Amino acid sequence: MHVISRIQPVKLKYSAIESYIKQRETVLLVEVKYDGLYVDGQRISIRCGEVHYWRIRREKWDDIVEKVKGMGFNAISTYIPWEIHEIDRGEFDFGEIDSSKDINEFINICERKGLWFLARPGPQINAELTWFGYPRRILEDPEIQARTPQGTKAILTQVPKPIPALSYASEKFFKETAIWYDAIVPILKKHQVPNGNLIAVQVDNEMGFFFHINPYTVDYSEDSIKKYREFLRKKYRDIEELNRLYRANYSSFNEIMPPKRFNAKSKEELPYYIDWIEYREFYLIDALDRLAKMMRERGLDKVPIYHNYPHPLNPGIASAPPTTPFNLPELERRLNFVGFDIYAKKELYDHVKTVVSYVVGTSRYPFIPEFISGIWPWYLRPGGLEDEEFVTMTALMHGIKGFSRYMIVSRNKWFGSPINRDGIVYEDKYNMHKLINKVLEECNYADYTRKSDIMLMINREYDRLEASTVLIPYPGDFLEPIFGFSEYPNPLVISEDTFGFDEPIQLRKTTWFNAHYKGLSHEGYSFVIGDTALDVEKLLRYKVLIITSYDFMSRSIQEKLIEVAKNGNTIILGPKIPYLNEYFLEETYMKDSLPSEKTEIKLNGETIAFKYTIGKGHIFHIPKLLEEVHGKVLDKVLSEAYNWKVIKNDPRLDVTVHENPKELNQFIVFIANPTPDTIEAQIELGLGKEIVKAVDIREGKEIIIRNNRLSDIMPPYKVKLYVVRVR
Amino acid sequence: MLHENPLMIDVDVDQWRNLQNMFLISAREKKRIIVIHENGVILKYRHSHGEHIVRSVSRILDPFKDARKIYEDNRDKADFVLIIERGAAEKYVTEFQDAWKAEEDLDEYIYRMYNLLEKYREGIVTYPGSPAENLGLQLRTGITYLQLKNAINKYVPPMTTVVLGIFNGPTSIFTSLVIGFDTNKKVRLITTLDRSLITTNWRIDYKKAVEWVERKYWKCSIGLFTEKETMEKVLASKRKIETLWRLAKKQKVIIDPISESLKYEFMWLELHSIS
Repeated sequence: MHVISRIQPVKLKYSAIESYIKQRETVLLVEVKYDGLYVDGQRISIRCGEVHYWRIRREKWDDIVEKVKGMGFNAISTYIPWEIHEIDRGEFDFGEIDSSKDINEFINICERKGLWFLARPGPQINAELTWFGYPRRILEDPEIQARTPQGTKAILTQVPKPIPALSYASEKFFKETAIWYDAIVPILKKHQVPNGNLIAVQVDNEMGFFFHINPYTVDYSEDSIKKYREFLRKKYRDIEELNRLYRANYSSFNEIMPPKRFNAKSKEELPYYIDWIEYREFYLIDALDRLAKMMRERGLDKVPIYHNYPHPLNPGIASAPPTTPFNLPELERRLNFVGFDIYAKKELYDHVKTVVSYVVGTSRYPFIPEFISGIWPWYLRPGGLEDEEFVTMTALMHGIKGFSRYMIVSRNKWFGSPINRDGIVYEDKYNMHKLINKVLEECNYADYTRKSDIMLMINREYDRLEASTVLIPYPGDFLEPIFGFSEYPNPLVISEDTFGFDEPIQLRKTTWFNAHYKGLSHEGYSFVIGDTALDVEKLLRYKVLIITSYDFMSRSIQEKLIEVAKNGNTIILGPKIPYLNEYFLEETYMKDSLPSEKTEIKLNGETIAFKYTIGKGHIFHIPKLLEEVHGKVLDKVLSEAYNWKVIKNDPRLDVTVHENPKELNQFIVFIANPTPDTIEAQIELGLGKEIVKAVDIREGKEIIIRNNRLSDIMPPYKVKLYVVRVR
Repeated sequence: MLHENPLMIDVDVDQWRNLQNMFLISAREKKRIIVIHENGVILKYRHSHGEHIVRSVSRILDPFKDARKIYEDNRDKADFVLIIERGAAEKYVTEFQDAWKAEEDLDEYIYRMYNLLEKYREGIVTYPGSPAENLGLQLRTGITYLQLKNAINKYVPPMTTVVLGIFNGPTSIFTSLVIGFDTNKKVRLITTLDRSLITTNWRIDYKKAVEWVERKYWKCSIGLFTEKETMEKVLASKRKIETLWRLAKKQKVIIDPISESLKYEFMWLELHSIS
């Protein structure tokens, strides 16, 4: 076995960061747990609505907030726009001139009504504002603008004005932001618990290079290139080490320029491009961390700081969960929690399931910071109330523990919310929210956790490879990208080269992921989605990990998987057992760790997998994808190591079971029909217990139990929630 | 044309969706065959929806001929073929972005983005039709952006609103659009009609709609009301003003109020018809 020297990931000194976070968390008065935020030991399950105070007449605030509360929401969130409050550089109006800008009084009103408060002061907020929340001077400042590979401006086509992407590596950007934070943080800090009801603060908004997700669009500004070199220096420490792994001949880190386009022809050339992708993750994490620290230094030191990653501009087109340039596990090592925003329609069930399952599988608090309510004008073919209801129930079904409805009050450039800016209530929408909030309260949803022992993992190294091979650049576009491609890497824009492997891994990894996803769903297995960036401790919580593995995998991930297996868990991988590391040098840690003895697993007489026993657990190797029967293959393999699944009479249905350790004889069960057809559902929960009673809690109707199966008619695009008693 | 901060309020979501369906065409929703190449060497040759296609071109030698051949060999599988040369795409996106100015209106920025495609006509090719007619989000009005802008400049007085009402039966609004222009003819208001205004028959109640707009916002210079089917005919016609004039004469379309300049145009058409 040839072991190469170990590279320090720039995710940098995790232990030191973890220690810093832990130290920092000890002074927080709001504790972040999986099921909610805790104040004085009391759990707050956040059911929140976004209200934009500056877009509502001051005299309407009280009435509108009361009506939001009337729907059963227990918290209000709001953006706080620098663009709106700044009169001149460093001069602000917080209600002294225009009473609708009195953010302090708006928070007071929420507090007087007993509502919790989440503040979102940016600096970037979008909020459908002309300048995305920044004063115009910031956008026009060349020192703050992000740069394309050619050194030119990078523009996000948004409505009502296209705007330049800003550089979050720019020193001047942070200096200017400090002016804003100096103004707004003193107002917010006095509202932190226990003195007020402020329980969390969001740093920035949907930061993802201003939707320039395409890796060869930004940021090539001078400050970003400096940061990139610093990233490489920290990762490799010695230029000779980088040269060895890049097969290059640089004399210093300062000589290295980032890749402007993808040109690799062989696997040996890939690390240079893949590092650029990893750098883009680091860029976002580092910038958000720095902004969060700036807020902490100014006194926001008692409440959690969180961030919302963006929803895709074309949801449903991007394959698999959005990972790079986002890195939720890594960002949660710096911030207190991180979520993904969700805007979707009923036809996008799998998109919502995927994003929610990823947040549930990776985040320390599965929270949706922006959760569709109403529509933004430039959302093409917007859905209606039934879409909102379906998407809401889908997200709850898959385990989110908190959310903020964006927007709960409609206003300029936002339509279709349950209340409008004048306080007029739209009863159908109002009642829908009221009913869902009531149901969550009545069934004690917060006490339950989705039962799921299987984690389907995305392999971040393959996602980085995929992103690095994008062939053409195209900017973010809120209307429609000119070439019609999703902003995320996808089969229409990535290289098809095999780089010397048997297959184009960057393409085939998605085929495998989708086959696992569909196979598990089809066969009735409940799973969350995980990430190779997670710590071993988190992975150990799942009895089964399923991961796509090709020729290469870094030593650290190989070690994680082996450790998890040795602890008694099951790993399912394939098609290959990796023998190279992420630099495409020999790395046989996994191979060497596997025993020579293996058992063949057969399906219909054909060998479909090999079983290795390692420590207290097992590794199953599936060498070939049989797409037509992959569900059956997984079912057979899982039957060797795992024994819980639901039995569905129709594979198009989806089912989740939520359990409560304090109520062993009661479960919450969701059944989803994500199709346009009515389906008569017959569901066996497989819990080994007799079902005594099942009530569709929204309808208040007890349903029929036949042969220990839940029986109900599922209308098209419907998710139902049942409280199920067993013995 | 679009103001930097237009008021977009009280828009009925169903009407908005119908408006999009009637007036917008999304290239992304169409079936496309995508070819990406570098100096003729094909790097990508794929159907947008993953369908199996005939790959009859092995190298891009003449992108116009090749696009046509690829389309014809897969006629039932694709709405259009897009061939992109990497270098051209890189230069194109760089050029349209770098000319950004904060003062430039969104529609002008987009017009420039589409207009620039002509400069890269060898590197960004579609068939059938040109890239500017195929790509991105297209207006299904049958006229160009410049024609639309000219029509607004010619027929809509400053500081007035234009009301469009399209109906699906006597009392059902299919979609509507109220656009308010300021003194510089910038769009400052975008909204839809309140459904409750149409109670008996749109041919009578349209007056209530105009009054409502004038009471709530500002003076209406042009109100155009018709059935959905008739609107489809207007969209399909090449000579819009003449078509509207003919349909108005047949009372298929109600244009009330009508601006002086549009009235003058109709008078001219009337005179011309008897000459």
